[in-house]
Amino acid sequence: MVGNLLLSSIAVYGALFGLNYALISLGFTLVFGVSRVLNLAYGALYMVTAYMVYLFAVEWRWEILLAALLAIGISVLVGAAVFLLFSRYAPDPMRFLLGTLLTALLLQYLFSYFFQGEVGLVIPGLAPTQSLLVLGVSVSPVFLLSALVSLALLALLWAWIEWRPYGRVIRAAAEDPETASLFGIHPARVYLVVVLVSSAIIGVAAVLLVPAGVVTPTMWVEPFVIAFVVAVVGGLGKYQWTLPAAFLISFSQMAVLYLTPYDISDIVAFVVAIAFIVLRPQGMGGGNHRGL
Amino acid sequence: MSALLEVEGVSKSFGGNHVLSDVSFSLADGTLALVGPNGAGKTTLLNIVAGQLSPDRGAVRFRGARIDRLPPARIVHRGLVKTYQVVRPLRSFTVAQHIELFSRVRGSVDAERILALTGLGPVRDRRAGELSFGDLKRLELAKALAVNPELLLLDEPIGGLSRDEARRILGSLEELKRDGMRMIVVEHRLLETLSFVDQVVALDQGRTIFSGSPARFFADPAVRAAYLGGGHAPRG
Amino acid sequence: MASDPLPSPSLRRLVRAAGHTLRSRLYLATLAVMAAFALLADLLGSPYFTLSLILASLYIALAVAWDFSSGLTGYINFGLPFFFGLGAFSTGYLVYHGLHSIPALLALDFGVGLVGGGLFALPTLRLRGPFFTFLSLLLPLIGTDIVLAFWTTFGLPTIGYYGLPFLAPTLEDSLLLLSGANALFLTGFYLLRESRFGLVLRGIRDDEEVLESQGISSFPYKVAAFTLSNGVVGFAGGAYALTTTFAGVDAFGFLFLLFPILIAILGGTGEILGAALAGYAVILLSQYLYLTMGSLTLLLFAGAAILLVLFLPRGLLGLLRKEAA
Repeated sequence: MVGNLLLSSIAVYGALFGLNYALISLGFTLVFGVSRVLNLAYGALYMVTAYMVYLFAVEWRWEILLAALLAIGISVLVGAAVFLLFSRYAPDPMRFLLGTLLTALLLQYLFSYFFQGEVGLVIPGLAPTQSLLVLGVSVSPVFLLSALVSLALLALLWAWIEWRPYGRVIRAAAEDPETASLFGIHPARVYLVVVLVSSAIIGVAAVLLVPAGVVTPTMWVEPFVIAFVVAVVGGLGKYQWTLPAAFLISFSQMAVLYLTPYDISDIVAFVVAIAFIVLRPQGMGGGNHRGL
Repeated sequence: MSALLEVEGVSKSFGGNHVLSDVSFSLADGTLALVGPNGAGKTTLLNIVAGQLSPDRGAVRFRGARIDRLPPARIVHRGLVKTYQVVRPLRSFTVAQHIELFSRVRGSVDAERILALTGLGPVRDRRAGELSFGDLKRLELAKALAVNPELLLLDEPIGGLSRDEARRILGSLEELKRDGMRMIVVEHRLLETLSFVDQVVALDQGRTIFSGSPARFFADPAVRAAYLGGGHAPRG
Repeated sequence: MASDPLPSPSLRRLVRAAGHTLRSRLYLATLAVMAAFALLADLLGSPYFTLSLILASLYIALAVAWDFSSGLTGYINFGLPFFFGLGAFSTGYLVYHGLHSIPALLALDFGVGLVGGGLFALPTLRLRGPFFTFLSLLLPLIGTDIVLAFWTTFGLPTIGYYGLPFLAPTLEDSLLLLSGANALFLTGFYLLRESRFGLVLRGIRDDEEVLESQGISSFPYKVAAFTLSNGVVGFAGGAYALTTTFAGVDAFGFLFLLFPILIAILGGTGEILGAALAGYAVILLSQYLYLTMGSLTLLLFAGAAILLVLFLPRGLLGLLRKEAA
């Protein structure tokens, strides 16, 4: 009986966390796949969204749905600003990496300055708070909702890129920006569109997931680490492999958590990423060519 | 006497496109020109010899030992070095620093001699980023000489240069030849190049169509067909 | 580099070359500034000023170490706070296990940095620059988790190690010790920069492929540079713990990345000496500003660092060189 509960815990939490990891990482892998830049300020957008929800919904007592939408809008604006500020240095990856990391730190210090002394900030969520039972395992509706949204967004994004006319433009710009520009496509404009979409996705992730935790100035680290590890395991830029990679990580973590006495989820994720980098640098998605 | 460099049945294709098919030649001494129309596979062959590409089939031997699976740096240690067709200097380095950096790779060389031979003495303390195109071409040669090679692979050493500038480099190459340096040159400008080589290997569409002395080169029917029939005239 | 022959010139020639390098005016001026600050602290006897200079010395050690490996090669190491924290924690661990000799502690911290840096460098420096940078950033991000995991697993003290011994009996002595250590690091890194080793590192930044195609395998040079650099970082971490007499997770903080990078870029990337001079300016200014505007200072310096990366990536010394050229 105990064995069954263990296994269903691994199954349920592995699936839930996997979907949530995918939600957090999707924007990151998408941007890298299309424009080949590693944006270190990605996690900071998660933090920006969370603080904005706190400001609107808690301090200013606005309706939560309105606060959430506005916060996502601000995440998109900040994401676009970072991209426009640094994209011209993308050919010099070192400068781009330095600039975007420093931006993340700047935002960290900004929020810790304006919200100093306020510890343990929490924001209201869109989901009910009563726990549910799934396969005999108690699950927070917060994670269930975000997992469902994750599935929906994965499907929507896939359909957009594979089936819609603009998806073809994105794929062309991703595969060969020079040739694409000969056909009247402006790669820089396509990159901006993708950055806007990815900033919105990480904003949605924050609105859905942060209510389960607290808002702190260092909260950008966790989504960033997750996004990075998922991207490495899936194969940098292979957005189609986001979900399988996220599952591989979440199930490994849950297996270690429930089958050993150690609570070392982050280290498990790090070890999985290192193993892929050393043994299979092209990731699960394979292939070495440019493009989605 | 066994050959210094032997290329034996080398084939290479990129995505089903046969760039080289069963190419063989050898060099015992002196200088060799590798010629052929655009896309004949000359640069690919040179990259295979230098270890920057590995052949699908065939072997490359240097002093009797296989080198075709060695990383480029190891091949240089054996005594074989290649220049780049498109100049690739270390932009923040001065001319003298280029020579200093590479002069310990295979025992010491005389930096002054290299500067004099390439004519770079007057700009020895200029950074590569500030040099003229002609100087950069000479730096490409000086950089290769700094590793004290036994065999020099030159990928279009006079490509893009004016007649006078080309003459200066060819003068350096002739001097090197007199000193006993062995060289393989890939060059489009046949008339200027063939004057100082002992042996010509011509490629067309990845196959060897001629191998022999420069004197016989222009009379050879296969060469004439490849150049004149293919719409490529020898430039010079 | 099995077949790369060792430098053949006699020891005497090497010493003469080193002597020539060390007669550089900028080098001598840098040492003079360091000595002047140590002397000034002694004369003023102001604890805040002396402590600020101690802090400056620690950041200078980090900045010079970072500049030597990352500034010269262009392989940016964001793992600084991790190896810094590693040094701090090993100090705590060793003190709690009965080691109280300050020189032994610092030497072991240097060793821990060397070993940790080497272990990280070996697999990751085979990757292209951006991926190395990315992985190095993960280290400080999960550093806290690693420490917490070890704590829970091995039953170590839960908050951190406190009650550690002081680096030296007085603050002024601590400053003197750290200034001396910095002079040593600075001299070593500067000599290496001016040697053929430094030339190879600079070549890596310019075009690593050219080095390979001309017979120089860059990998051992990169590993050596990053290992050495992280040894100094480990030392600084230990010295930090012995200054605050506490080793906790704050040692993994991004302050220990932000300031060293800001200092190194301001001093001119890859210039080594510039970092030492910029270090005093940046840290003393930040300490002064901290008195008047508190944590707004950090915001200001992060913004300044971004502006530097955008508009002055070669720093002040780099700018001066360009003007002179």
